[in-house]
Amino acid sequence: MNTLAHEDTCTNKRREVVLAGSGGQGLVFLGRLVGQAAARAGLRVVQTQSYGVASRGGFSKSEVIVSEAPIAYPMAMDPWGVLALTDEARRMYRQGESANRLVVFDRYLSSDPEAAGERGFPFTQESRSLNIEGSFNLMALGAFLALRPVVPYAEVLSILREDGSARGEANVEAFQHGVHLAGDS
Amino acid sequence: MSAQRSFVQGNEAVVEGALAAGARYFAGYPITPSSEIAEMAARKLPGVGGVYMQMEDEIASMAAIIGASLTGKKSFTATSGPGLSLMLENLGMAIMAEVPCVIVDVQRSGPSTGLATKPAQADVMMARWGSHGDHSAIVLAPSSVQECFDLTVRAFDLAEQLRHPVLVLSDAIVGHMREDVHFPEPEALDPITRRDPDVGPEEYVMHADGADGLPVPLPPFGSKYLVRANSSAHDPSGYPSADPGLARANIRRLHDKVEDAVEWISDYSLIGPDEPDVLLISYGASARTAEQLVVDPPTDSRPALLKLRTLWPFPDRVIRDTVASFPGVPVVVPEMNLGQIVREVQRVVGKEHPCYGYHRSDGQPIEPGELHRFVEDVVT
Repeated sequence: MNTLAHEDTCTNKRREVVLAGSGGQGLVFLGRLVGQAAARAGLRVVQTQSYGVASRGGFSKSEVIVSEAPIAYPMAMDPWGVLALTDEARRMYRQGESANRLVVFDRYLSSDPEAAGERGFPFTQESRSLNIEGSFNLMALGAFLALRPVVPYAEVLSILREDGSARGEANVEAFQHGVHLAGDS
Repeated sequence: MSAQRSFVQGNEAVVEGALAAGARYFAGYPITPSSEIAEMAARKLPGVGGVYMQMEDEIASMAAIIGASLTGKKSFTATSGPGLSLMLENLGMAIMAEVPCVIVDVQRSGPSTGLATKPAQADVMMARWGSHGDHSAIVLAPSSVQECFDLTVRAFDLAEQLRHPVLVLSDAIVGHMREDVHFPEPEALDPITRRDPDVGPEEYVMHADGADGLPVPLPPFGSKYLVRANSSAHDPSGYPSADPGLARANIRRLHDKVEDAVEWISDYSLIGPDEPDVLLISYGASARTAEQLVVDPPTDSRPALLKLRTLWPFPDRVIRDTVASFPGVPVVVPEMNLGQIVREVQRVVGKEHPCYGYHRSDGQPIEPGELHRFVEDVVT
């Protein structure tokens, strides 16, 4: 497992991440999970969400701001990391990117070759081959947090493990697989 | 409820605040972006002996919470702009009959259905003036999840003290935002509870003020006290009357009991340097944008922020004194509408004082960068 997580979360800097894609991909769920993990780690945290009127489809995003100091503006101004689960989301955040920004995307959902400041992973294919396609978003989050450790992923894992259901187990497996994907690449 | 820090949504914090304040009845018709309040109320009220009532529309919802309050239960509802439009008629009923209750409006972009999932702050004047006739209004505006809890508790207290409906004017950003918050232990709170009148049933007059200058206690329907909740003009006992003198006295009293309480209702905070180059006055989600400029000021910038948590009755003196304490410093009022609170601020500071609104009305939050560029233009 990537140990970068614990080193980089020990900062009082404001860290902003955006989880963006399409309605129904569980982006608000992911944002909430990251936020819960941050709160458990004793960090100040704000999570916001934005979506359209459709319950499936349409641009959707969840933003998480983490800091050791109180947080004023609750939304991302210059996200350090973006998890883009649609081609639209990837393009949106690639444009005007800052030097530090990393956009993590799914190669199946967005097939353009990797550019500077981008990392693509086969989340869809991997989750299908492991028969945990319903947890593909957790696999993406695992890889994303390995590369942009705004929260210790041990906290995320401990929250996921509290859900003892079959779905919860698939989520844990997917998340850990995602961390390894990023670590091995 | 625990004293630990929790990670919860603004809408959830409203329900936690309502329960902590002693609310035991919710009637409503869920609407985005307030629906989580109804959902949480449905889940939590039965567990504390309360009642959740799913109504057929917002008109009935408002009527139901007035009725429940008259039986002695602290009552609330939640909605968004389209629903508040329907509640306004019965909001007047609650004002006229002096029935305490709390209405939460999680504002979204309008007019009409508008951008149903996107934020706005364009219900400020509806909250003040929407119900017909001369009346006052008590409106609190949270800008954080913590304030969603704290101001909901306060809303119930003010409703009971002044026997007046109180609006909590949230917005889609604050309502859907999750933050780490601190909910106090229940024993740390001392919510105002209904008490029996100081006099017997024969002497009780429901539309009168007690020795403390506040309206007399409201006994529940079915008690030995006679309670006439009358939407028509009435005498102090609630009996209908068309007498102009009684009408004048009643309207004046209903209006003045709130306006005269402005000093202790007003809740605000002032942050920033001692000698700012601009004074930002804001509320709700937009205050968070302004706060960002204060805590992390761009180079050569010295903004201060007066954050209003009470919007109505409008805190004239607070605005006047704060502006006077920074002579010549321009005022900028950012808000997610085309100009509502800025007009009140301009009225208070006068035409001579430089005072500008920064407005955005497209369902998007005001970003710190755009506000800073506007402020730079104003300052230079």
